[in-house]
Amino acid sequence: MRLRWALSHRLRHGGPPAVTLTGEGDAATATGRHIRHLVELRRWARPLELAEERLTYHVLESEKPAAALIDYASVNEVDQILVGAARGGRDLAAQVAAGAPCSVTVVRARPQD
Amino acid sequence: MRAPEPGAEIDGFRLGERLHTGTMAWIYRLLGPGGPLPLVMKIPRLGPGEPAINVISFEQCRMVLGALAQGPHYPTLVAYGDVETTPYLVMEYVEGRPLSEWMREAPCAADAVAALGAKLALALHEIHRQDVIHLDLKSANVLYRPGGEATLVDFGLAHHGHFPDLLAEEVRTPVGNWEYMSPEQIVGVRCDPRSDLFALGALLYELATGRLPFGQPRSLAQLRRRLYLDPAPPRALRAAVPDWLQEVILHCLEVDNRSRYASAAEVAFDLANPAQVPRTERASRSARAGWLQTFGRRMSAGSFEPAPCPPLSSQAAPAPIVLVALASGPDDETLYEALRSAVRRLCASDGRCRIACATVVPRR
Repeated sequence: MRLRWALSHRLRHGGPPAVTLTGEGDAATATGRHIRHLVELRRWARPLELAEERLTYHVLESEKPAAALIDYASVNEVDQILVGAARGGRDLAAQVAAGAPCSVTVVRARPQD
Repeated sequence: MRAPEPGAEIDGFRLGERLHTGTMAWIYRLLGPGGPLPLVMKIPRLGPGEPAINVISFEQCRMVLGALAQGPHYPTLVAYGDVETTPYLVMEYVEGRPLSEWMREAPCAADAVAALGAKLALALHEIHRQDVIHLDLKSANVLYRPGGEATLVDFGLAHHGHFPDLLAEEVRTPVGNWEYMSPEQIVGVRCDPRSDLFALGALLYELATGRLPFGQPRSLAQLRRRLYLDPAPPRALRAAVPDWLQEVILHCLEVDNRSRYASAAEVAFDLANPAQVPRTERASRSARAGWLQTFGRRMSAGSFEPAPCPPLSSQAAPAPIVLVALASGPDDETLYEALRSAVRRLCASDGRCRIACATVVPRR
């Protein structure tokens, strides 16, 4: 309703060309990289079709992924963590499970039967 | 990114005069065919040289303002553009006199300080009732409408108790205005409404004396000084400050959050009823704590840990939060889908659950 009111105030006549604020998703800048990661998180969440207010997106900057996730879970009183099982390499899931203040579910992709 | 020029059109809105240039965003009036509209647009500063916190703060501001009920104590959020394409917020233009104008005239008379403070305290009480904490109070962020109500602006660093905090883990150095920042914010705690009461006390101190209670810290070490060094009592700087006002100000500025007022409504009551303010040692204090006491406090300040945040004001238990950790590496669509199936199962069993999607990226 409030939104519609604002839209009705939008200008329709000509004038200087519209400014685009896009193009800032430039990977060479800190804000651009951050936005790119946000876009990826949203792309992942879109098929869930959940109401927008039930989703939040967080790009954590850290050299220690497990510690960053555990910290995040403690500060925000997270009830459960879902983490994908790694296929080789350092096992993030195991590190998170070892240190998390809440239940951790390690999710594994199973090949389709 | 350069500041857009007045006259430019963004997503159908025509920019008018630029009202404010902040470190994180610009604010413009919006124009209609017949002149200025009662609207402003906030545009985050993005691009080369700008820090990632500008994006986080934009998202936080949108989330908090979007969740607040309509009211006179904060601007109404009218429309917003998506951060992926055209990030902006369109909000009500708040007509009013900023507190900074009174601050320029400080020291102010006690009754003026009390009147301004009581109105500000009521505005804080209203957002605290909705489990929102401002956390960036300063004189430029408080406007007094012609009707007298105080309006808080700039919720870019605010905290909403019902949502995961976008700023909590991503920010290492304390963000916000250092001059008025509470001790618990200095050590990274963002969930205590009493932090706003500390900032309120610091603003009242400045209004009443014309001086900042903790000076202008330039380094973290200077910022931490307020953990052990108490401010000079207002009456020691300006004898005209009444004892009840000193009592209220120093009560707000207690280092221990439990020793402060428990709510903004209590501060408003005391400021509106000076005769009923219970005078304690704070009212009659004439000098800072002695060197021995300060030394002792300094020794224990290293391990300073604030008391826990009070529970949320809404009675309902907060919705459970599920954190989904997504790798930032190459997409693995099968794993992504498996994670989504797990989320769907969880949400099917608890219809209220909130999903926090997180990825960890290296710092650069």
